[in-house]
Amino acid sequence: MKELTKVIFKNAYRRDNVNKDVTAKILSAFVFVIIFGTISSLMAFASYRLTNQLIEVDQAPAFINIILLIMIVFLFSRSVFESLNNLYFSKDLKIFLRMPIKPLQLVRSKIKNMIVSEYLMELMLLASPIIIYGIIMNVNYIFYIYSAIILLLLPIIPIVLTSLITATIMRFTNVIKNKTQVQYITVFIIFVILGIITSLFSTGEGFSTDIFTERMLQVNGLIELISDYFVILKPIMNSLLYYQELSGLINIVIFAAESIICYYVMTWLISKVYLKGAIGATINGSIKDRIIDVKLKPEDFKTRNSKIAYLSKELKQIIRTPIFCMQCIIFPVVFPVVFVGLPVFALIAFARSIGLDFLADAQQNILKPIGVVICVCIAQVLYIMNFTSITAISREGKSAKLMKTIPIGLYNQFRYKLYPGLIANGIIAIIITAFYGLFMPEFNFILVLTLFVVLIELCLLEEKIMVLIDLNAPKITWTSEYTMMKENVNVMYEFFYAVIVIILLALTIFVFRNTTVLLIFLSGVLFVLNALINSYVRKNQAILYKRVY
Amino acid sequence: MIELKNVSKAYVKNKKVVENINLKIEDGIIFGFIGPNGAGKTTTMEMLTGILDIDEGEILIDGINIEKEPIKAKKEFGFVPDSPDAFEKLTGIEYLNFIGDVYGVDQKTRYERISKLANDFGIYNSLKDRIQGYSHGMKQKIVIIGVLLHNPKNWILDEPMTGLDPKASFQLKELMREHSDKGNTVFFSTHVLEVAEKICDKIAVIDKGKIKFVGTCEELREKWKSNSSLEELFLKIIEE
Repeated sequence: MKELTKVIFKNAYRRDNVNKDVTAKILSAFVFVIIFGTISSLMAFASYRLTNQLIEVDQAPAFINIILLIMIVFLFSRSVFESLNNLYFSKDLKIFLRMPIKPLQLVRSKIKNMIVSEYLMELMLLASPIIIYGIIMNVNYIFYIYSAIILLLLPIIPIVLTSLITATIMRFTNVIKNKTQVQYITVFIIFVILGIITSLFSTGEGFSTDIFTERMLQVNGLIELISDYFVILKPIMNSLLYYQELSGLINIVIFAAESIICYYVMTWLISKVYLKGAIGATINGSIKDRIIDVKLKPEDFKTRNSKIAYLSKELKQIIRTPIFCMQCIIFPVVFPVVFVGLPVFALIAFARSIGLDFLADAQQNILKPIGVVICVCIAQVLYIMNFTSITAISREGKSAKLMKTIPIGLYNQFRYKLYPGLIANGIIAIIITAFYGLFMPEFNFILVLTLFVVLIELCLLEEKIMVLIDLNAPKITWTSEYTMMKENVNVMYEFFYAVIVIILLALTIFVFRNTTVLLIFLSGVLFVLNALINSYVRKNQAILYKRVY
Repeated sequence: MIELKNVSKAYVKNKKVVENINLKIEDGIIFGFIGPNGAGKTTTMEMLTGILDIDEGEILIDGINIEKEPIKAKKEFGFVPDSPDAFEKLTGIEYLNFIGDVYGVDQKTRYERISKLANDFGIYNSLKDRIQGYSHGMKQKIVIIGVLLHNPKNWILDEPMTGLDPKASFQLKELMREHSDKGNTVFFSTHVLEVAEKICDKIAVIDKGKIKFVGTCEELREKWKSNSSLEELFLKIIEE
């Protein structure tokens, strides 16, 4: 089983750099360290600020629980896709299923890999906050030992629990006929089940502002409030809170026992229902089950120009692949609109209808350069949630080879690759511009229009840089669409890029006093940068596409 | 016509996988490219089709340099790669329409050619299914139909028979013969020496990145003064 785990790991995580020379490999490692360091430093900085603020209200230990809660929610969300794609839609399954490997061995190897893959994420997001908290609170070494144990065990329960739900759904689903629909529906059902499980484990008191205020007034009230809503959190929380006492040790033992028992019991249960669903997912689909009397008409062969055909192909590939659709459309566009946009719109409308003036300050600031810069920064943050362009080349997989042989210039292909991201982030730009217009004390068309132009230019620049990053190190040989998304470390460059843009934007506040002048300046700079990239890609297209096969 | 002049390629410095290849594939012939695994066949084909860049030398397709005028050159050939896993989320008909749009094939021609070729290859009823549900052979067939759709003068096929059923394999060989008889070029790589022996007008043997022999099967036998099969001669060449 150890060997099987190793093979799965190597197959999934080895980068496509066999042809890179030593300098390129060192450079890649250096960039990785820089990006990793930047994200960890940002987390450390945020943790420093938050811990100090919590100290002021005597709620400091709540920090650990907030950060752990965020991590658990994050792990549960990721494990929904991880389990589905690793256990059922991974291309290596076709090889493993024909080998004399027991389902339990395969399940445990796959789950071990999923757990290990979460460690990098934990290291990046969780390690620095815990260390910063430890330094501020002057904790001793036992706290760090317990923290390390928690980091090691934390991904187990989210992964095995989600995998068990996934395996059960897949066991009773006809995967062969409608793979894509099965993926969408399974993700939806798992989220619903996880929601139900979470609510069953809560205290049942329900959430009200009265309870919230009352708890907040108590020392450690926030901790209790959080732990009421998440049962796994309680032993972790207690072990770190009372690390100097015996109850801390008891709680860490309880958590370790919970995790280990869950791992063995649940993986055993998964293995009992695994094979049928896995076999179903690997079968190509029988033609006999499909339409047997296709009649193609001349209308089925409508001609389009090559640009429209290319864009249509890109969009179909995104929409028909659940993980691409989630990461490129649903999360970056639908979620902000539904969960942020609409409630804020409703709040503004409601406040105005009852004559409340709590937006007055914000309305005054929004006309100043700082207001515009905040809007542009929000747009930049939302832009990076969209992985359309950063995976534009990698998404092609093996088709990338064929795309190099078609008579569409590589520069044109580069341009066409920008459109899906531009459409998705263009919606974000429209929403932010609409907010800006709505917030204004008096509607100023010129200002709104200039802001919109800036946002679109910024979006265009972002899409171009992201496609260039993906061109530089595309991940073409993936085992499943999900692993391509997850293992694509290029995504980290997107965060790095956003940090630089936000810092530069923040600096403009100190230089410009007039909002219109600032927007015109930004528009001009972005226009020049966009033009420079166009020129660079046009001149170097052959070199840029060298890495794609 | 396809010409390779002093073509070399190295993935790692000073380690050439293809070394100083010179080939001239004239119109009206089927040209077989044979060699053991890792000999440099696919690398050569990928340089020929613009997938890989050329380190040294030049490649001309109908006199057009693939590096200097890539778009023009790419219009002159159709390529079947060694792995047909392409555009799995599209249906067969969507893929073929995409290829038709890219190469500017009109609606009437598309309708006629796709209907005929899909029927001949036995995948007509699967054209509205997604390619991800196709078997390896069906994927191979859809890619081949895509190549034949715009009727290029030069066919470049990397292991085209792999995964095809006997009927489809026979049909493809017939199509290759028809195409070359019309004065066009067919350049294909294969491991199946019997196929090469039966249908190729000329062959090139490549081993460790170098061309070991170019000519007809008869010329090969003459050179080795032997009446052995191509398989035996091939083994002699690569052991030399």
